Amino acid sequence: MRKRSAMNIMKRILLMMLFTLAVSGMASAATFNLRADVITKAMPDGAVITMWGFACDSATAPAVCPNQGVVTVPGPQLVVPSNDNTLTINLTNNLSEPVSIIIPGQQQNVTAMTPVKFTDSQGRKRVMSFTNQAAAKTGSVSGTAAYTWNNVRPGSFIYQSGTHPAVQIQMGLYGAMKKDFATGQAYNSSSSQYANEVILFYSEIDSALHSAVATGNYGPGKAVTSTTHYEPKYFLVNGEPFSAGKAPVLAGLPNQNTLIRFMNIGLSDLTPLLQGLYMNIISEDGNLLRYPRNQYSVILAAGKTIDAIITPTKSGFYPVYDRRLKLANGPSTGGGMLTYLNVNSPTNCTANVLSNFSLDLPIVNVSGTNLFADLQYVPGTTSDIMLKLTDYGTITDSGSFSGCQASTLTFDGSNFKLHVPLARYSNSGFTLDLQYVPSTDGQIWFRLTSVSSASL
Amino acid sequence: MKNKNLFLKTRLLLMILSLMVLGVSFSAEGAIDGVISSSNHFTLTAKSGYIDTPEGGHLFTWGYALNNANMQYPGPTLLLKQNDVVTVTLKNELTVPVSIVFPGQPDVAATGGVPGLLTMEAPPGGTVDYMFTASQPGTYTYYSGTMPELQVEMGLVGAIIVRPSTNPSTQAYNHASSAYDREFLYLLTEMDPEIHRKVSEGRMNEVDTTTFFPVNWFINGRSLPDTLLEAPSLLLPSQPYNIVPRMRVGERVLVRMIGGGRDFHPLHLHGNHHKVIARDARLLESTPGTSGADLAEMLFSTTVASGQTTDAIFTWTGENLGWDLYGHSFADPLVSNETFAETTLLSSLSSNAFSTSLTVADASGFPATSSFRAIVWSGTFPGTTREIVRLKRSFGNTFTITGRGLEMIPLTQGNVEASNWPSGSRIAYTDHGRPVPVKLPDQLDLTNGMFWSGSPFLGTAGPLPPGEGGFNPNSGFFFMWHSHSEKELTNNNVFPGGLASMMIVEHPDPLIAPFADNPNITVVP
Repeated sequence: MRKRSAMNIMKRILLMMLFTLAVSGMASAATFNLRADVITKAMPDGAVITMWGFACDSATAPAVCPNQGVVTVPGPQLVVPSNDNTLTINLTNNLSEPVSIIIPGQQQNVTAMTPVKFTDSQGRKRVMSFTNQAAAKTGSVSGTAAYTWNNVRPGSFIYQSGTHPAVQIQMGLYGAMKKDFATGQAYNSSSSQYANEVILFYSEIDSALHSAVATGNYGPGKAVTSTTHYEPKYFLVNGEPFSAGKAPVLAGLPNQNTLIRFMNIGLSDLTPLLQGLYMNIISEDGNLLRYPRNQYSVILAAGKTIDAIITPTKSGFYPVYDRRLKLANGPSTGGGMLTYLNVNSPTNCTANVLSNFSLDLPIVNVSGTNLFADLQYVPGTTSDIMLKLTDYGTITDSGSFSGCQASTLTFDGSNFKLHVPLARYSNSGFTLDLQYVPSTDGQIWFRLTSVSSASL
Repeated sequence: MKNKNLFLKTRLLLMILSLMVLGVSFSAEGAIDGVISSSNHFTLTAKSGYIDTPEGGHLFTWGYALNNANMQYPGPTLLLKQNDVVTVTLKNELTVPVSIVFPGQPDVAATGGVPGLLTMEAPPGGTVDYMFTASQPGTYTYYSGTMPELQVEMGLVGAIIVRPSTNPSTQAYNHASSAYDREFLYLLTEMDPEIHRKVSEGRMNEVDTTTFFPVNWFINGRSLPDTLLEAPSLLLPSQPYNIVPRMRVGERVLVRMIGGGRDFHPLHLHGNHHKVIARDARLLESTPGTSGADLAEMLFSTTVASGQTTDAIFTWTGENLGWDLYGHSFADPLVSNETFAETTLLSSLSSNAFSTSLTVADASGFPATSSFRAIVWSGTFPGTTREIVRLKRSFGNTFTITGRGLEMIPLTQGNVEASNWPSGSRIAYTDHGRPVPVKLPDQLDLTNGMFWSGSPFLGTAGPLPPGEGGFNPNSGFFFMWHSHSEKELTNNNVFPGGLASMMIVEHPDPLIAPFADNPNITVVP
């Protein structure tokens, strides 16, 4: 949880950097150096799942590595700048079998897409990969491969392994790839303009397969020989199943357009459903629809991407969940594919202004990045100080990060703890540990020392 | 089965009786059973009970009951009007917390109860009020927002219909493209009996919803053949809704489909394509609010997805079948929905030719043996003049006039009498006056003939076998409307059954009084 909140903030910063760079017109060819590697992921019920994921070790500007050097599932989101037509992925393979990368919907040079075949025990040639592979790691030598797409078109796409996909995609070798037509516009139509963006990347984990692969029990003649008996136990959004206290996704302000990129790399069809909202579905598989479809739910088939725009008129927490009801973590309820969209209203905050004053609190996070928080508070009668968090974000990104919940600030003598509740019907939330930093510039500075999830 | 047949018979007799009483008056509310509240305040009680499945299953079920009535599956269909300010009070008589969510309804205010993940929940013995304004017309659903992966499976699901401000009894939305003559509800669900067994045995903690494996499938809470049974039925006290769509030839039938369960169901409306006009209670339109359903899609199977609603218009005219379903006479005036096969006359036809052979360029689209109504004209159809004649194909591309004279009706336009047709005139075949051929099965084959009248199709009625008659009084034509996932046509591994019912298309003869839909509507204060 700690990682996720920090990650969101980091993503935001990186996005901003990207916009800045895109506008400055430096783009030429986005190059990402990805590494396929093993990670373990802890599920809310304590299960530890062995997965295969990607890390972005480096990127050539204007491309930017999200979570540089960290193996994640889904893999790092690859953003191709609007004015960039070429995407190159250099793949390093640290796994024990060959892997590759394909992007359905993005056209690749035909000669580059040469299927790789092997000869089976009966002498038959059989396809094992849709495209050239990075060889398995042998000893300390990692396999490598390079992939280039020369005419990258705008839209939302999923990159994924093209090798032994029945196993490798389940194991976690996938991620989001996107390119906008222009800054703040997904496609070549004004109907796709947006002020905020949310990605909801759905995947599933059949723990039996992961454990068979991890223990060397998957393959011909072994305990598990195929993925036919697929029965997922965990249902993830952006790599995590829902559990109590999970942070909502910030989705802009009322009356703003927020683009939701739905992606499904699981093996089951889903129906994400927005409770209390309608969306305009604007594209499917990276293709703009001639007319938007106004619905509160959408069929999201396996492997598909769908873009939709919401324009909520009121602030609040809007649940988005899979109506096929994959809402359990194994046998436990209250999990799975549930996300809250947090739409906030500064107007509501002002309506509730708590007498004395409001503050813009510039704060710096542990890595030294400047952030700010709009805080409004009323001194309490006890040592607790009631606070409203009205906005926070990077200094160059005012307004797009926002919160407007009744937060509480406590002071333990040396540090502040700012608790932000996460759901309308829940006391759970996350807590920012703030260290007051004396300053002579007339402003009140805090240092963000940690983020933790906790219940009040 | 015999008992059920008896009930079917009773239902039909009741229908006939109601026809006699009501004459040609139509019900204003369509054929969808449900509940109306004069104060827009509904009280639903979550409670447990049992439902029955046709193969003998008896499943422990949770459902929403109306006030203190029996648990019912699905919950009461709430019949609302646009802009109604609705309060739904949920009382919980279950041993677990429960709630209701209303997808598609904005700003649902929940008061009372305790906070849950999706809304406020009523604890066991507790109560929650949900309030919303039904601002937009259409087809909606409601279901439990508490542990929904279990509670929806257990039966806590229902339908909402919001009637538009404009023509609320004949339109689904505020646009004429949603006009209908009759409407039917298809709330599709499924069940995994293992889950119900575990819950009934107090082993709810052993339920793993990730291993969900349904083997029973339902329309409005019933499986075939119970879908055809009367509604309500003493045999199915917890399943008050049935589904027996009936229409007359040419009528527009609105089919409101709701995905109530966890699986998708491809609903196949046999007999014709249907036009999907709305999804999630919004017309498929290029300019929202004004253009009407101009983006409607023609489908013969609709994917009814979980939580999603779809409205479609189905109609059946027998177009292009080559038979006349309207009972026209040969001499009736030309109407726009006659269907044609068209060719060129290669011989001339003079006004005094009462029995002659005619050669045409290509007779392949014309009936091979029986006589038929044909139209002759020249120039641009319908031309300044045209003539209706009765022809019969004699061989190849040659026709014989069989009824000129007595039956010949020269049509005139601009007072020019049609009579002399040179070679090169156009000639077309129309299906008017061609009754649907009826072949009566052997009497020994009449094993399940409850809807048998002697004419199962829309043609001329044939002689009835002894002891038969009266069950399909209007010579209805039957189409099975069902899930196209054939596995779902079973009741726990017994075929036939499951997600299926029968659409009955009846004769449009103006001498037969149109049947009333006569829905079973409960009105509460």
